Amino acid sequence: MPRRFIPALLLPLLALSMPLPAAEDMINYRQQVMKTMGAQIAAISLIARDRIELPDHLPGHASALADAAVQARAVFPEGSGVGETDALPAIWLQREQFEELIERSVTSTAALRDAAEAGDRQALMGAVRQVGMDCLACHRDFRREQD
Amino acid sequence: MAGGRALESPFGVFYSPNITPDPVTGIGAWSEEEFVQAFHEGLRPDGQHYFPAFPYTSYTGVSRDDLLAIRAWLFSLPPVDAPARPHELVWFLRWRGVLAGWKWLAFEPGRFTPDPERDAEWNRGAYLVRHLGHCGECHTSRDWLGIPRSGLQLAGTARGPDGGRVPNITPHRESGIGRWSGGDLEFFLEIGMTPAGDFTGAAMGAVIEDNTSRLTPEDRRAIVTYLQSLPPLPTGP
Ligand code: HEC
Ligand code: HEC
Repeated sequence: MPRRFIPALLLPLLALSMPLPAAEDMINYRQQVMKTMGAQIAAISLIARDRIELPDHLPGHASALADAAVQARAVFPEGSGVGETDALPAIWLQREQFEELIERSVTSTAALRDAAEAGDRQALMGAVRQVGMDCLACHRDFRREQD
Repeated sequence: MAGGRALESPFGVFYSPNITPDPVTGIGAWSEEEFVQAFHEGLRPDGQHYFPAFPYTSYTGVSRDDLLAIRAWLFSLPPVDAPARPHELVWFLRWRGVLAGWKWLAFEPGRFTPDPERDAEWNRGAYLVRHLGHCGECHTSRDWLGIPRSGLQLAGTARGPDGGRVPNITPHRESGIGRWSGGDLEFFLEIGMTPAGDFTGAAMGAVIEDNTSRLTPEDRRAIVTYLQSLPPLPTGP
């Protein structure tokens, strides 16, 4: 066998063991989308609990949160589970269950955005709780435990 | 509630029993006395000792009335016929007699008695944290015998029940929750969000979903009042 074929034979093996550059970017991007959601819900919670008196900011935060929840649909493609990520393999093994949780958070963040736009403080607090439960439910099953 | 959930530990794998009111495979045939005895004394109706994977070391402080309320709720569930799966344990624990020795060392039965020096809110918080909510089962580090270190209560551990780290929840500013405001802690127990907007998962997520999110706001405030009154401790091993 000509020598120069050997690297070509090894390549697929390497590809299996190393995260693809594209996967690394996707992981980074997905973590930014998640961090956006975290920053927005933390900001909303401060205003909703009257710790910060800037109610005019609510609709902006809530719509950014709802947008990010929709973006989350596209950030877990096949092959993006290897590398510096806390995403668990279960995401790709129990895809249906995972996507249902994504849809739940799309629905609850949209309801939160509507409550914020309507200026309905009562509904807002309930919506914040529901969003929180949806974030928690997915992290519980599909994200590596933090330390 | 039909049991069978695995609980891994350094001593082997425990399987949770069936606690539906099925008279044969569940607890349907247990009298009120037998039910209370399981929680207060760590004894099965046949007089055998329980493994402390069933946290009776915390539940011993729960009032009889609260236990009977739990019993009434469990007995309202549909019975499920599901025999318990035997535990898979290290050899020296396959003999429940060893447990008598462990209990003699580690277990002090007794109800919670309020501290008259403290107000009702603090005492409610102490009862919820130490007994009903059994927060120390995970948040307190244990010695080689699996006995919680009494000097390091709630100071966290590097090796919790799931093998992972469990944080220090005493009000130590660097290692614990000393920088969290009371409101942040209450909100965390309600929806699971840290002040930075991250959401907890796994073990604590389950505690929040099944337990602390369902408490009244007054009970959550009582828990926080109690936690903030604890001596600030460095994190346990
Ligand atoms: C359908 C599942 C799912 C939902 C819903 C979800 N998350 Fe996540 N989240 C994940 C996964 C998986 C990761 C780990 C991503 C990684 O490391 O690649 C994560 C990571 C995070 C992180 C850490 C990002 C980092 O690396 O710094 C934050 C913060 C976060 N999520 C906040 C939220 C918030 C806030 C919500 C609700 C508004 C939410 N998440 C809803 C699955 C989810
Ligand atoms: C089954 C084990 C378990 C029980 C029981 C438990 N916790 Fe936790 N707790 C954890 C784990 C694990 C974490 C870390 C979660 C994470 O990092 O996402 C945690 C985190 C926390 C935190 C956040 C601390 C920080 O620095 O991030 C607080 C506050 C807390 N728990 C309070 C309580 C209270 C109060 C109780 C009792 C009502 C309790 N916990 C019962 C396992 C448990």
